[in-house]
Amino acid sequence: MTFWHYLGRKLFQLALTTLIIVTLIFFLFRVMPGDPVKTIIDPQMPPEARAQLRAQFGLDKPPVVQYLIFLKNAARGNWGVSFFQQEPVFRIIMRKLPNTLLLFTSAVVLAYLIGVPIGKRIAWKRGTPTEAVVTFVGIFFYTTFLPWLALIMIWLFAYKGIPLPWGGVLQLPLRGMMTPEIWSDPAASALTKGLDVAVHLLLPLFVLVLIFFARFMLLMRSSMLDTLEEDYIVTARAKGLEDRVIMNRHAARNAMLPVVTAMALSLAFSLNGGVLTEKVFSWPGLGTELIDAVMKNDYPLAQAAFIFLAVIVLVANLIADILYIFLDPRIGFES
Amino acid sequence: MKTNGKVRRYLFAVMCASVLGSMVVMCQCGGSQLPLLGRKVVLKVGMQEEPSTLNILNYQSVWSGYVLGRFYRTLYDEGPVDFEMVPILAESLPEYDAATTSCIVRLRRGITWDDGVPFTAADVVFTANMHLQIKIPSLYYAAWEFIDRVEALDDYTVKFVLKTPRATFFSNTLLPDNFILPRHRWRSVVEDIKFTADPVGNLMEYQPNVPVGLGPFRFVEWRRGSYIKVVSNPNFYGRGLKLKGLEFGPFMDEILYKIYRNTDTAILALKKGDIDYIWWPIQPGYLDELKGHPDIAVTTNPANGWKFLAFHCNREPFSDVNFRRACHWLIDKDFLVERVLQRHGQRADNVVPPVNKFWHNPDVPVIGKGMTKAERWREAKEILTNAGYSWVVPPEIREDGAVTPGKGLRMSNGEPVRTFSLLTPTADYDPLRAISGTYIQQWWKEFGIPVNAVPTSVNDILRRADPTGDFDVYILGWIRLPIDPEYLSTLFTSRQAVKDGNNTSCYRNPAYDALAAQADAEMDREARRRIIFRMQEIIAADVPYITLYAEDVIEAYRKDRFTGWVNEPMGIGNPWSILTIKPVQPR
Amino acid sequence: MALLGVHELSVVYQTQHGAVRAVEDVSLEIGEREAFGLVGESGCGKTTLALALLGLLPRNGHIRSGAILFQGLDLASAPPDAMRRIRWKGIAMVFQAAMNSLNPVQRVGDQIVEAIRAHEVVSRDEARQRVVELFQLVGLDPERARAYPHQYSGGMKQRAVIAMALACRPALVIADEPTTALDVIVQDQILAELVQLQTQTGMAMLYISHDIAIISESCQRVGVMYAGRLVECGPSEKVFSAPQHPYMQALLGSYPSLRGERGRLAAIGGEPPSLIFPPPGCKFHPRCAHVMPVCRREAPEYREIKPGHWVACHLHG
Repeated sequence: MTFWHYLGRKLFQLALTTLIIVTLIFFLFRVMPGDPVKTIIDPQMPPEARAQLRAQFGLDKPPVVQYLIFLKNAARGNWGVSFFQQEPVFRIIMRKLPNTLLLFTSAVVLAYLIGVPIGKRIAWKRGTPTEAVVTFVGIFFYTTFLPWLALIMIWLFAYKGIPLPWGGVLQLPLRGMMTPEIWSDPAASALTKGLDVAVHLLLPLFVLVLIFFARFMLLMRSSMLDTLEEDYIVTARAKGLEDRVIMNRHAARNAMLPVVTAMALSLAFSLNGGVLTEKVFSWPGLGTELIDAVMKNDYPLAQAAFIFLAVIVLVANLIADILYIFLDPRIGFES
Repeated sequence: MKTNGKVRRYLFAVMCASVLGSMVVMCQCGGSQLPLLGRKVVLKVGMQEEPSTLNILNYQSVWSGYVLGRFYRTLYDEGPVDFEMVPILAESLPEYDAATTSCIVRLRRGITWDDGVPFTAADVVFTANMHLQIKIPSLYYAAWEFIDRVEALDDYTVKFVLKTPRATFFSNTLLPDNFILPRHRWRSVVEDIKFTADPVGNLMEYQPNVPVGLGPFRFVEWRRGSYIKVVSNPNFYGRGLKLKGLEFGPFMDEILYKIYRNTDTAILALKKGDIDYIWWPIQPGYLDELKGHPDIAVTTNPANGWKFLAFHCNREPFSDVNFRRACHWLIDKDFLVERVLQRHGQRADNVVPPVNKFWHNPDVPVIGKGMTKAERWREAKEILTNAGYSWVVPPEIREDGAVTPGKGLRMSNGEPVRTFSLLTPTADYDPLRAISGTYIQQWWKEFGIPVNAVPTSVNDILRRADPTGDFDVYILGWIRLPIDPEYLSTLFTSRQAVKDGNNTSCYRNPAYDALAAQADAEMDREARRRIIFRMQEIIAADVPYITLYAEDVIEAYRKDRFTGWVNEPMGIGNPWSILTIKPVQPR
Repeated sequence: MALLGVHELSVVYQTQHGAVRAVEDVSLEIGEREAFGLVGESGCGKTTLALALLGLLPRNGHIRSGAILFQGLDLASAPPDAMRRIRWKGIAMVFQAAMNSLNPVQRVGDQIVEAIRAHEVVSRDEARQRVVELFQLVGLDPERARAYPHQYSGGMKQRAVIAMALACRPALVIADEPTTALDVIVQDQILAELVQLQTQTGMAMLYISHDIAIISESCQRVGVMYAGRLVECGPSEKVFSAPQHPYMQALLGSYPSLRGERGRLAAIGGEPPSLIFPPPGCKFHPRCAHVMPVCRREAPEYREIKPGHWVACHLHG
């Protein structure tokens, strides 16, 4: 089997999984208690108005017919129109997706850059007080209730502020991804605006990084502890290699393999945390959009947002699988 | 993993330095921001959500109204303080002629749209014809269904011809959400979609880049999810007008709507001075935190709405009005207000709240107010006993207060009353209603009425709360009722007791139906008021709904920033406030 | 002067159940170019002794007393850096589990290059050239140096591990059961090659095995360990033809023929003793056919009964 065969098979699996997810999500929303036409609470709406709305939403047809219509349209790239925003859902998602990606990718990358080396080192120093303390901190953040932590952070850094040694108080922004006063000022330069977003990013990023970092660190630590028991580590030590070389080239390199897969999977489980973070920090992302859509039974938007997130997780897993090929020579292909 | 340690450490240092650097820069920005804003008067408003779109016809939520309502105007509006009809784009009150069922509306002269085109009768006729042709469900049936045609008599006179007399012509067609659109902007849009398969959907999907209106503010910019900026309209025709002792501005240069997705951060922002006003009611739990702040004022206004409990009148035992009345006597609304709402609300004893002064019937009997449990039990017991109900163990309250709970309630035909369920919203959605439901369950049970309170997701209650739906009793609420109690004709009439209808209780009373029809067709306000009073009495006597309580609208604003807010039943966040508030520090 | 001198070495493991005295008062010497065999049952402390020589004891183990003199340095108390320099350059090791002693994600050749470059200042190309030679020496196709361990058969891995052990031309190679995981035919080949290599390269070898036959064949001297102690040590032909310790006698007695079929050390009656709560006196006494009252009280002294032939047994008191 060549790499391209492998990739083809993986892509086929991905397409199949997506189709199954699409189907499940479609029917899940329709069996979920609620009726979008009923969520419009208006005593002035006579029965005929609701019937008209139902027809406009396409909900007057049997679910299977609705599903087939949805599939046909989706295949043409038409994901439907949000019931309540009256805008093509694809456009809504595309508008919010970059914000979510900005927050999430930077959080994942930073958490990786911090979490993996620390996890590696504390596993190396197993049994020491440092390891105990860092592991405890990791478990604390791993299990902490995110909105609580986020609110504490907001109160501390954005409301109270941190006194600076040279006077003044460092106050981070409370919310969102931009200062309206700066962005709405025509005189503000692109650099100022960019920095403004960066500063807004700090606090939500900090909270997300703390949580991701804890996750990645603990993953790396346990994987590394397993690896350090391996015979080839004893060999490496017997060879008289330096500790740094043993830790990095032999132990960490092998410990990374399960971590890559686990990280891609943990992305899926961190979605709820991401949604909460967006809500607490008023971050204009896909998560809040999704929650609102679910609350209002806005099927087209909710299902499209869910499918998008599912596909993101699937793609992350595909990338992990491909990365694995390059990391682990045991999965080889004839060239 | 192959990255050289040195390179990585270098990258890390660069990253840390840039983060620190940007922090410091922004610290300085924070300082330089103030003089920049000092030149302009900006009202900074915290919003929980943003409008759905900039299309005023796609008016899906209050948030749309808060923003888009600043750009567009209606012909008339409910005036401040007493809700009397006041002309807005019209020059004078409508002149209705009963003989021809037509109405003349005279328009103000000299008003121009934001792009300089004059506002004329053609715009009104265009807007009306659009509604008559396209039939947007949320507007058409309430406001346009009964209109035969609308024509311009001249550039500043419009004639509405009605098919039949309909009172809601004044309260709906000429009023709240029927904003007049600029014909020169919208005509091509409407023409394009008029003959498509889904004209309503296509019209809703239309997204104007910059809405052209004639209101006190003009649209400038919308950063999705972050903020909306509007500036005051220098040509606003209403500037300097006076009404009921209020002088109109606007007295600010800009409004900056900032989106806060949760109340906690909005409260912090208010305390910090990032915003001047939170445009949504806050929970009483925040009061202590706010009251200590020297620059924050808290207002409390009664709501024109109520939480209610609805019976399915087609089902036993609720089909018996005596049973419903007895249930009403057993609910201790004083306790709910005192203990559950912690006094941040009022009893709701009438489907038209007292705050709606003109339409509220003060003579509707109030059930159980200030009475002891023993007194209320006596009433309930009397009603049920007279109606032939009996108990295996009758409920008793002795002189010393000891209670013998009732058991085995039987209907007049001797059959036991079946156990039924009371659907309440879940505690995470609304703890007050969830707790109230538990108390009501306890009160009824103690009296021998077999009920189970079932916390249920609101979406599920909404789905089941249908005349054809599956429920016994549910608790929901009407939060924002219109001033004109036209809802009395939709919530309780027989014609609405069908699938998707609003008479979820399936209450049927031909006498009431006749009154409702009469009220609907009564164009004389005073005469209509008398009918509406009568309808309130019937509903109070027949109890398809038990109105429970109304939570007060508690709001907070910075008193060091703006003053002159107008208190209304739904709070200070109303169009009049925005027109009349003035900055505390003069320019 | 011997190449390696172990003097009264004791190694202790701390476990949840108590201190395990895995190696106790072991003394032995290995000369230059000498092949020394170490036999004993599983868990008798052979591997612990080997790991102690390289300073590779697991985290819960430590040298309690004694000295390990190698090239004039006491490895028992050498600083980590000095120890690191001795490893592979001075003493290399062929591990018991050759299957798992190669890093699965690194090319085999690179693992050898890495060992060379850790100790010698040579360019990568020179080191690669050395790998080619080593591969030829152990009978591997030098082309295979670019392959990963999973692409090797068991025998090839073992050869590669041997090649790696020889990479820095160490003075002493410790071979700890180097062939246990292989099938019999491959075992034979590799053993033969190992013996040949030892004479060819002139290195000394500490050969740890269950396999009495190969040790008798290839080692000049042999030591017998029992429950952490060295109970007999001497020239191979003497120890195998006339074993002095009852343990060795029992082992050889239950063995069909020295020159015949090869097999593991035969099972002898009884259980090996607990190393946490060892029996008093001679540790072998519960299983000994010649047990005397004194054996239950006192540990026998390790003494030289004939020149070069040491035994710890009261029979030779």
